[in-house]
Amino acid sequence: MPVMRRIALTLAVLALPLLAFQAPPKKDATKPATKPAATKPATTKDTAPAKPAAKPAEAAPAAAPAGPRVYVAPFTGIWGLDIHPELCQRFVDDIKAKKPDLVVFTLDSQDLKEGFYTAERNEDGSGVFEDDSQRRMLKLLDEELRGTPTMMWVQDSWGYSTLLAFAFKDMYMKPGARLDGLGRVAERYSIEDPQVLAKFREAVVGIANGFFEVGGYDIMIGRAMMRPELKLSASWKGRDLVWTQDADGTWVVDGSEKAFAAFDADTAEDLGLADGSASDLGELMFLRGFREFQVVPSEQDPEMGAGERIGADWHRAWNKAFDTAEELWQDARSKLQLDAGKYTDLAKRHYEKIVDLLEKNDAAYTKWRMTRHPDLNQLKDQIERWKQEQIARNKAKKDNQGGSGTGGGRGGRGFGSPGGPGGG
Amino acid sequence: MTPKTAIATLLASLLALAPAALAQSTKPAPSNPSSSSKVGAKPAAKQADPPAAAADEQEKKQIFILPLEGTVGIQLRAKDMHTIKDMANAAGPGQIVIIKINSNGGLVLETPEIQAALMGIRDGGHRLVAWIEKAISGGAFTAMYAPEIYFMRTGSMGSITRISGQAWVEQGAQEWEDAVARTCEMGGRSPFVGRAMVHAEDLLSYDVDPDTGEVTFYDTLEGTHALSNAKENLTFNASNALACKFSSGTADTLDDLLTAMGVPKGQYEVSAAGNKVFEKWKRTCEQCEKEVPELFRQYQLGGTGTGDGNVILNKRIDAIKKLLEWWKKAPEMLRFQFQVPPPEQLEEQLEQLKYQQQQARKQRDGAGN
Repeated sequence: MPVMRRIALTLAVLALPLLAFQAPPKKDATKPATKPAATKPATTKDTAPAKPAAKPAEAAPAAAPAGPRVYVAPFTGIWGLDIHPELCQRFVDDIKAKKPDLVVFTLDSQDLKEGFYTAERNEDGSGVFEDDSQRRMLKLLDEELRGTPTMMWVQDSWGYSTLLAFAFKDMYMKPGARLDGLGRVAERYSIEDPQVLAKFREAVVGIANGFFEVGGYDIMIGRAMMRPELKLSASWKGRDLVWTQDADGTWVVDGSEKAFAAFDADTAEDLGLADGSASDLGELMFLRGFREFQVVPSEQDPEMGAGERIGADWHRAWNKAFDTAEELWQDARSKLQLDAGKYTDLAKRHYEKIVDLLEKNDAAYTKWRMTRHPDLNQLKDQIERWKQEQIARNKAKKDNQGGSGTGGGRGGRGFGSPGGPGGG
Repeated sequence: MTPKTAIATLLASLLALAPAALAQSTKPAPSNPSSSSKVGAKPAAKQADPPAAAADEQEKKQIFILPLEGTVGIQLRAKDMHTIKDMANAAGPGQIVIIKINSNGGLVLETPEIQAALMGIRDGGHRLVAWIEKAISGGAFTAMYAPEIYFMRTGSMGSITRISGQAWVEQGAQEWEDAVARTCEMGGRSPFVGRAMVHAEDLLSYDVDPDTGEVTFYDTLEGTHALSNAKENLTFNASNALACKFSSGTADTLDDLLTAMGVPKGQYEVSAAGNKVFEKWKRTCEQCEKEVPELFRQYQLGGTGTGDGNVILNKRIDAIKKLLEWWKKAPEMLRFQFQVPPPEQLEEQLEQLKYQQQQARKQRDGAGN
């Protein structure tokens, strides 16, 4: 760390306790001042983002609430599934109803985790990039919450989720957190023809860079994080940091033509992308100038933060929808293998339930498609075939003839629709 | 017609249309974004000569906002642009038409009609503005006709390379690039910008005059600011589009946009017509996406369980009749989204099914006698 920055940091830390009381939420102008204080505020009790601050408010119920009301909204899990526009809408509706003084969005999402030996794919799944709905999610956070101070606190991000972090001007990190994995964007332009490659690459990188624009970050950073051949470095020009798409700057972030740029918490802070690092919510609030604060609690469960409860409910609901659909699917398959004639009606009822569940739950349906199941139209085709078989059987029974009827021959367990893919 | 010949034919029609449209468009762009335009300073010129009664509420001019979303030629249609053009013309010259674009591109064959509609709006003496949420490929081409382009912060625009599937369409590639360059000029911009959006080898850089702020584009990398090298295809974001004055401003909300456009308060009112046109077509497309697969299903499987040929025939006849109705309501969806056989073919099949039905009826009646 340069000497001048060390001095500035020391001065800032010394000054913090004097200046911090009840200060309005405000981004510090100087980055060094955002470094955490050596001593933590008394209100900090544990490291879970949403929990600690509920305590101070409870400790003195008769007194006026101390400090700002902080709404913690956790984005946790797989991008596009757990972190979904519908969850975002629920947060926004609740925030608008509860009118907190400050909203802290947290981000904890990894497509790649540190495994036993090396980094490995997250077994829970990989993020899905659907730019239209995710851009609308961003607009929702930005436009619907205008007038409410918001900030992002990155617990860890590897994958498309990193885009969301860069959409916030006020960004903080947890020590050890990553801003990484945007190389996944390259999966979307992996094409041989150089003209088509250039078209697709610039289109998808341009679309993704929209998130950087919203946060006010230089799009060169985004490019280097999404295109391996591009380098990235930064140089100080007075107090401003100037980014260049080369390795000639004072601080080389990515000097390779084969690697994607990425940032850890320290680098992100040193280069002014993040405003500071905080291990827990108390420390984060302290960095923002609040020794005391209260987390907006859930109405149903005052022990939990409101956002935490909404997040937990959302995860439970969509996972339950998917798991139920998967169980029905597996049950139908195994029963049909056992005795197709006997269990056709049961399988049909299962399929109808699956369709109903998936039509009502976009996240569950997204995971359904990711996990190589037939799509809704294919399921509906099969239901119709079974329906016709059932009609044929009933008719045969009625006619007292037995047999399979005329239309049943088209049925079976295969899938296919006009113009659609076959196979199940 | 093979896809390649279809593209070539359509390209030829586009090329034939371009000079005429250019000639018709006698009204210059409010200002040239590639030179020294100032954000928010432009619009007043057009509204500077209102009639004496302009202050009257009833004389207020309209702001038509037409959202254009989805695949060009399917969900994003020139037809809707023509509808708004007619509405603007009916209200008299001097209206504002904002096309709000969110598209990954689509079919080249729609471009001549898009050109006719958008240049028609300009020729009607209206102020045409493109507002970019996402304008990739055909979406970017559509936006190029507007003399003023504003970006949302999330906006991106470019990548107009013509492809078929995942392959570059080499046939007519130069003609296509020329057409895009001309369209760029029709919007009052440097043709070099359009070219850099089409083919990777087309370079683009620019300089900004420190005194006048005027921007000069180069089809080389000699400018201070490089925008596209020999391996890249130009796609703008909000910040670099603004820096080189390709965009006239950045606005996320309508209020911000109108402020950036310098629309004087009290002289205009926002019309809901454009949104209604968009919503109506969107609902139609959604309904079509739901119903057409059902009709396929009905055609394939309907009545088969009864073992009654007549029931099956009735189901099929009904499905074809409904598909023919959809052909009238949403031909773009049927042709390109679902690749349903053309109406003539369906009519033919309908006649055959009706004939079979007649024969079956005759047989049944004969058997009854």
